[in-house]
Amino acid sequence: MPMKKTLVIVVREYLSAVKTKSFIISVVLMPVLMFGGLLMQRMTRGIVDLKDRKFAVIDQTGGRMFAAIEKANRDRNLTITKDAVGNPKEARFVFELVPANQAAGPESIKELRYHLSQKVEKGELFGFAEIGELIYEPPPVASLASAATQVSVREAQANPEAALKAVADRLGDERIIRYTTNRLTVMGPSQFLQRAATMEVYKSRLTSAGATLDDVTMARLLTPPMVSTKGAVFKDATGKLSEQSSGGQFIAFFRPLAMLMLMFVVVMVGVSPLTTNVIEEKSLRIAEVLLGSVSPFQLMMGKLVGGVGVALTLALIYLSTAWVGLRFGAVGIDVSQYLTLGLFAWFCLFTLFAALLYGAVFIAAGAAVTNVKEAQSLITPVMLLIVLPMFFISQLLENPNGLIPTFLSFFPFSAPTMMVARMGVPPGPAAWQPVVAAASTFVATLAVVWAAGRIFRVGILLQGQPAKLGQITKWIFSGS
Amino acid sequence: MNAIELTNVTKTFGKHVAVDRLSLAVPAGSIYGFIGPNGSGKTTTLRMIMRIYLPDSGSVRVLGDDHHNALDKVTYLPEERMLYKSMKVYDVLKFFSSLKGHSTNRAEMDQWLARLKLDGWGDKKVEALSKGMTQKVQLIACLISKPSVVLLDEPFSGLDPVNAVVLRDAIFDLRKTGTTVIFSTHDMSVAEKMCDRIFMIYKGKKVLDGTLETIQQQYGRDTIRVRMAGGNNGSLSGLPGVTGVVDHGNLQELRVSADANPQVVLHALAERGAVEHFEVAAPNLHDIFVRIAAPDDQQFGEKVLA
Repeated sequence: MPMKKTLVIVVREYLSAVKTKSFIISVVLMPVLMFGGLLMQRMTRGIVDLKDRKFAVIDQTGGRMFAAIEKANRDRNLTITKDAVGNPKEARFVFELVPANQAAGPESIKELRYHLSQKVEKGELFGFAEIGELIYEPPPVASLASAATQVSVREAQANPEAALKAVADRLGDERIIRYTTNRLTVMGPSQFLQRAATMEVYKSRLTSAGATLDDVTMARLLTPPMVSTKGAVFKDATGKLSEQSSGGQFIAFFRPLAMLMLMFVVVMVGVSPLTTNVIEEKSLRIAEVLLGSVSPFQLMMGKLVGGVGVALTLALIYLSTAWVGLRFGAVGIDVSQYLTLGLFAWFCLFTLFAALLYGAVFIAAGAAVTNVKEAQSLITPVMLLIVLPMFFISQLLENPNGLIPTFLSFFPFSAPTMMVARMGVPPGPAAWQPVVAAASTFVATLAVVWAAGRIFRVGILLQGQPAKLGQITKWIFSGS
Repeated sequence: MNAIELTNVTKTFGKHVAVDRLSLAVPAGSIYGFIGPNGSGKTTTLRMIMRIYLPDSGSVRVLGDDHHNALDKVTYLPEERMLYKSMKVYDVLKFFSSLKGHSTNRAEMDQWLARLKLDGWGDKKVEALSKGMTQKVQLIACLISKPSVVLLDEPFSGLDPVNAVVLRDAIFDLRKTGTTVIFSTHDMSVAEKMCDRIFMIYKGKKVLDGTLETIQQQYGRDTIRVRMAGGNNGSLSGLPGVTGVVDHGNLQELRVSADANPQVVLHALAERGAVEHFEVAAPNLHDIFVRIAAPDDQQFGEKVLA
């Protein structure tokens, strides 16, 4: 009979949560927030601003580099990828040469930059470039490096490109192409200038070195070799050797992040409303009626299990949607390769622990206070615990078995998210680690549920003043 | 048989003794009224009967059992009562009835709704109901599981006269079916008219327990109600044996000492003016309540009763 009554509470809690508009909205909204950016980008890829982008060029090489840029731009404008109906997919570039006499002397160049910047502000120009007069000369990287940076001459000679980046700020304007724009996030123009100038400068230097080559040959010879990252080769169930597809690599990179985020979202949406729920029952005195039928512990467990049910339902909805989407959607990836049954089972187990652990804390917080505002001060530290692994994502991806990720994957409050995330980064932790983490989380969950039960028993009937931390501790250990 | 038995029950909160060595026996099938000033221990006692609070000492037996499970046959309606706002009325009734181990059905719920004039509201959400309607739904939630004992904390507060009659009739119907009803109230006339027995708690201690008659007998016929022609124009002061006067406007109540002779009082009054009404009576529950709850106010007068 007691179990049956707890079940009555579980069913009410569960249905009252999943039948609300806010639940349906969060089910839809969460993935939209998480993946909507990617989706929007994909959807709006075809919608680009096709208005001509105008650039002014101050060429201190006497028009030589400008001519090369103009030529490269003519080729670009001719070859801009066309869509099915023949419309260009990118905006055309238009370059205008600023007469050389306007840029004579250091003061007039500053004036000119100001004048052109004004035009950029007004939208008359997209940006402007200044070609340094010594752009064709190889920069004196070695001497710059030895003079003021930590790059040694030897290193600079061995890898001039890296050394150039190290000393870039020390190169004078005469040795660089200054590109000025207020659209700093638009990389296309600067990348185009880089490409066009690189070809032109290489060509000039090779010609000076005695190699006379036509443009096509030059371009062909200067095509760099390609390094392509592949996943490990594995044996499938039939013993066949297979290689991870490139889509699979994408998943391998996002898998730990996705699992961490998913568990976080599921726990937050599933069990965090328990605090307001308990406060509501307290303030409306519904708790009193309920306690006339069930014991406080039964009531708490009913709420907790209902909340956990909501969390697991969400996890199931998201995981199955992702699975179906990836398997049968445009990507066509066999997800079972990346979300193995074992990993799925661990994810579910740790989600269960996380939901129970945090659910109990949320319920206890609701019982110890009298309104939502007071609850915030109790809940905020708990929230910090649950988001803790998010602060260490880069460490996680770089070195999943490093000190911090390993420690966090055993600390009960961060163990569920961190351990699952670590398991998502190949090759994953040693087999014993998830078992020990699960065991320690389980013990901590039992302890927290027990303590929450003690707090709930006293707090649920408390009216007026919120309980102080000392009082709450007393409730846990002395029972009243 | 007693539906409820409390033996030497004490409950303290910190240093405050809310209920002090209370013993009480509520006979099965009776209507029992709990009265007492605010903060005297009524709600704490009701909560101990429901095992929402456990007593520090003493025992509480419900329907002969001292285990939580006996509460399946006991329902409780707290004073400041609300329901889950986003639930439908049918769902609320089903939920509370299944918490008592009773499985209700649509026909039974409709029957109750019709009885309390809420036909057609079963599919509506609680938030759509008026305050009075919500109170009636709460009452149904309390009664639908066919309990043997019903505890109602201030059930009449906030009800309009029409709904108060509906509630009163429902309570009398419960008695007909043998259900024990315990309710607390601040309305002494309701307690006088409805209760088979009345229990008063004051500062955690039992001060009254019995039928209205036995309670009144403890105080004797120490009250004289008079009406003088021309009203109370100061002619009631200094009467022999009279210890206090309360002026109700058209009627004045005199409290007389135990050894006072009403005939002497009547004679003295007749000398002062024309007596239109003279009645020797026992004090009503209201007076008794005030005498216990405000013992320091020896004036028995305007200050207390006005």
